[in-house]
Amino acid sequence: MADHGATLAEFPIEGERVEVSKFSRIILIAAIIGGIGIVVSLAIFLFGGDSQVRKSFSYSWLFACFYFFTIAAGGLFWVLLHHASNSGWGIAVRRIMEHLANMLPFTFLLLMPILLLKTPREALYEWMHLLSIGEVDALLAAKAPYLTLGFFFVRILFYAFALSGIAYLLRRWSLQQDRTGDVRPTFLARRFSCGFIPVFAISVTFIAVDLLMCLDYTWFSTMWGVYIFAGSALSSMAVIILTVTALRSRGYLGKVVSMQHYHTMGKLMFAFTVFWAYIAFSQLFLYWYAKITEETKFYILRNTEGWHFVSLFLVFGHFLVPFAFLLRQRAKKDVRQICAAAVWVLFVHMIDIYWIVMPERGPSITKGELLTIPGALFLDVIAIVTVTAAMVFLYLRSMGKYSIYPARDPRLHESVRLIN
Amino acid sequence: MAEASTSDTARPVIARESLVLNERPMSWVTNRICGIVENRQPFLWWVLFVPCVMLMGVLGYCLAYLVATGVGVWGNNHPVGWGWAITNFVFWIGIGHAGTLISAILFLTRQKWRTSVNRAAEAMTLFAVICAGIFPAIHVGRFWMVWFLAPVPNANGIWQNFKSPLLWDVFAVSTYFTVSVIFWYVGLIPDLATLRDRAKRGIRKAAYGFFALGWRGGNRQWRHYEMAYLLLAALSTPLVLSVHSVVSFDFATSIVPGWHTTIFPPYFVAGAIFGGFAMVLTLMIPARKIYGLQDLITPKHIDNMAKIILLTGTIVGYAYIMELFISWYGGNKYEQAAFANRTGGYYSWAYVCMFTCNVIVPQLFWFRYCRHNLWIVMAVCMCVNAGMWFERFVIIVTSIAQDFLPGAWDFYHPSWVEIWTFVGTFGLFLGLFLLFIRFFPVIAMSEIKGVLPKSDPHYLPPGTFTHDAEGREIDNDGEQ
Amino acid sequence: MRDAGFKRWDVHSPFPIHGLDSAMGLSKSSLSWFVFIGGATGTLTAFLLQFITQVVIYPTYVQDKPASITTLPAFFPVMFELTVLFAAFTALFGSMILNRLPRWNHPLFVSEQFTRFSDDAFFLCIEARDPQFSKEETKALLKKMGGTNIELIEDEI
Repeated sequence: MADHGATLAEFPIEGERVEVSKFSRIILIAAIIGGIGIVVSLAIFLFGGDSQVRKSFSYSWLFACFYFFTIAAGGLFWVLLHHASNSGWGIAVRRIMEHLANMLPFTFLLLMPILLLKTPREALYEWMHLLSIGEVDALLAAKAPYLTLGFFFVRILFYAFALSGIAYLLRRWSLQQDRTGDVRPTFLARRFSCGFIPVFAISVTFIAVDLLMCLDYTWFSTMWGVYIFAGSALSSMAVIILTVTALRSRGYLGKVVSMQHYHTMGKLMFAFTVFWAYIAFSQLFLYWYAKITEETKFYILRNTEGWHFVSLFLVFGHFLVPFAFLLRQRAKKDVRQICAAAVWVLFVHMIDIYWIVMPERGPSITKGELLTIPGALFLDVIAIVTVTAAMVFLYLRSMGKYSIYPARDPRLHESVRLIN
Repeated sequence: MAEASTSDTARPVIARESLVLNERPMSWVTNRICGIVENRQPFLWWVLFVPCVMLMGVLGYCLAYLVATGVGVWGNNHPVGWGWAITNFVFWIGIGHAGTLISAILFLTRQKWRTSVNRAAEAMTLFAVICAGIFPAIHVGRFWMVWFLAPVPNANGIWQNFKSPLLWDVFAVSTYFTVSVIFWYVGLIPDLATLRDRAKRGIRKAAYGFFALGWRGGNRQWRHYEMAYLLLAALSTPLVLSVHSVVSFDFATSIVPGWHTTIFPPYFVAGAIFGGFAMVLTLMIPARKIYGLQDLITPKHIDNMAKIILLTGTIVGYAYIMELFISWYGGNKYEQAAFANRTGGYYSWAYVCMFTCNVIVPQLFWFRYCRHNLWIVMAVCMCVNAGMWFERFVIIVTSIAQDFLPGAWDFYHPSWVEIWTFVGTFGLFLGLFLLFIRFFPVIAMSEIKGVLPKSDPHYLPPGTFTHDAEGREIDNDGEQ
Repeated sequence: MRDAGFKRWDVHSPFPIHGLDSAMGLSKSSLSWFVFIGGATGTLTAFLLQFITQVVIYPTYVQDKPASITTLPAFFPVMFELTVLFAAFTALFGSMILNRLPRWNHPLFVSEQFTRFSDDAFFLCIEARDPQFSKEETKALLKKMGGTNIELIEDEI
């Protein structure tokens, strides 16, 4: 039968290098905005004293950093899944996933101000405040072995090193293969990825518990880690799609990535839209149905006044709209439509994280007097713009250092000839 | 065009393991699989089938005795209203998940290796759901009133409570069964046509011909057929997730300590897949030996399924650990007591069995040797089958035997009726499976033919590869 | 074959051949639209069934769930199940209708060698109803294209 589809001879052995200069405008703008933003943010963190602005800004910063943490962790998930399942389809985009995963150390670095400085930390985590002023209630005392400052930092260090280390190692092996053309890194990565997956699962679960669930130390849910993971895998796939499109629009990856890859990535985005809804619904549903006070408080707070509309927006925006949109095959095969969907997914995921973090802010800082802090939205915008600019800057710069696809991967052939 | 890459030694290309060994041609596939249906069954088939029929008799007797006497013949008592009956229901419905999962999810993710096992797994699904359906039906007590579960207008003007998880269960399980039958049947149509075209005798030809619907394999037909199959797969995937989620809602929507936890839906689904795959392997490993299907169900298939068992087993382990952690972290005294009872109380032996069989033993599958030694695979699968039963027993019985008021606590022991009913369902399950082997093609022939290297227009000529699937170098020079 | 201008022809094979749809000039199957409509009908049916029975004609206040639209989450499981059920039935019957099945009697079944389509043989069939069809020329064309075992089946459609 006729052999259609690309052959390897069309791809140079050294792959394609992205000339960062082609993105220089974006990088420059990101650098300027990020630089100014970081200076402003640091000023607030270092010289904010005991002001409400400093405390409010801690929430904004957590929201912005955790948003990017979920995206980077999702990138790592896709790399791990790809290796562990011995997949062929995504070799063409795997380097992009690897770069995304290697943003993890930066997200941890950015989290440092709110974790290391006492006032921001205690503004965020009431249990730390209660511990430091010595007003430990029975519930907190019962949780003491877990909720202590020392153990908290040990855990954060563990997540940071485990996740960043895995991301680093997997990219290192992949780059090694670029140079030598040896098959061994493929097998090494596969074997270790299987072992890394449990480490990844535990780390993502407990970082979600430590940084988000513990915003209210009285609330708990066994599903929490899975919920964060679902949004994480979803949003990182959206970033991968957008990155691929950006690179293609500048003339890269033209032969390597075809519409078939878009179709596959679109299907994965669709699948995780549904998975997120399934997890979110189950969690809400079980708490709503059982009506136990200490469990429903999470949702009651998020159904109070204006938050109610944010909750409703998530139902439609995070599930129904992308679901209905991506249901059609055409939407997954058309670059413009799928990019629109990806941008939307990133937006609603941001709202999702916002919806998790921010309702805690007003009641926490004002001791229950106010639901929201007036003017704090402005701080949120500063935080998200700053962190976004910093991340875009670092992400685009990392693109230029190596070939943009693993040119000597033994499964590249399968990937470029992908047929759905 | 492909030659250009052959000379490109600087770039390795790893081969995929072939899904059919020994380069068997299409006619061999047809002959071997149809042969199972067309020839006389081996002696072993009868050795297995006769006891199954006897067990079906036992099941029938137990059911008749129960209906005639009342649910009092079971060991259920006041706190433990859901004893073995619901345990067995969840156990069987869990096993019934692997079939549709293999078919649907693996189809959507383009895992071609599914073709060798999907037919048998789907059949297994149906039989497991039949076994499962028996238990809630008889558990209602007055079996002849079961029709009250259906939303039909009645003389009393009463309607079902649609807010009850138990009613969702009725809808979920019956939908699941129906859709699984449709999915299975649609997959069967081309193979039934094969059996029809090979049949000589009248009844056989008429029967297969009737169900083959006059299939002609034209591309204009395949076009719609494939779309139907794809859509059914896409519908079945969330369905599989939903069914066990709804089953988990039976427990999780309540406030019973140990039942009310948010991770239940995905945890139950993972557990169901886990148990289902173990049962598929339990059935397929002997079947491939007895019927000589080693070239179709290769070590690679068993290896893949063992890996899925490892993965889902570890997910189940994750859920166990999260449950323990949150029950402690949540600070709810009743939750803490429930888990203390589970792990250290009267039924702790069941918890130990569950944890060992479901989480620890499958870790053997980290080792390639264990995935390729069929005795070890069988032993692990047996452990998983038992472990998954214990999981349901632990969840159901320990939670309600000792809930809020110590004055209301009691223990539960099954009666002989419950035990023999459960044993009887194994007879029903295996008996139906043996009949399936006798009358239907046990492997999807048309799909196997589709994954043969010759059928794939995109397949790479052997000279392309520099390394085999294990990473060993291939010497291409001698073969030109 | 398509380029020769034939309309009523088909390729019979033991398994679906990928890429043949475009080679034959066939578009994507329209089945998905029917299934979507079927599924939507299922959702609506389930919603009406539950809303009417629980809220309108037989309102009950149980499990602390009021008999009003706020109980909607409790209706989702059944709505989902019926969506899938209706969609699956549509997929089954829709594909049967689009394929003109069941049809137990077809001229092709007269041919002895055609029975091998379900084993390992590939057939190309041109119906005599096709305006381009002529006994001799079509046969010559098939021969030229490398066909073997060319057979003329005479039967009423």
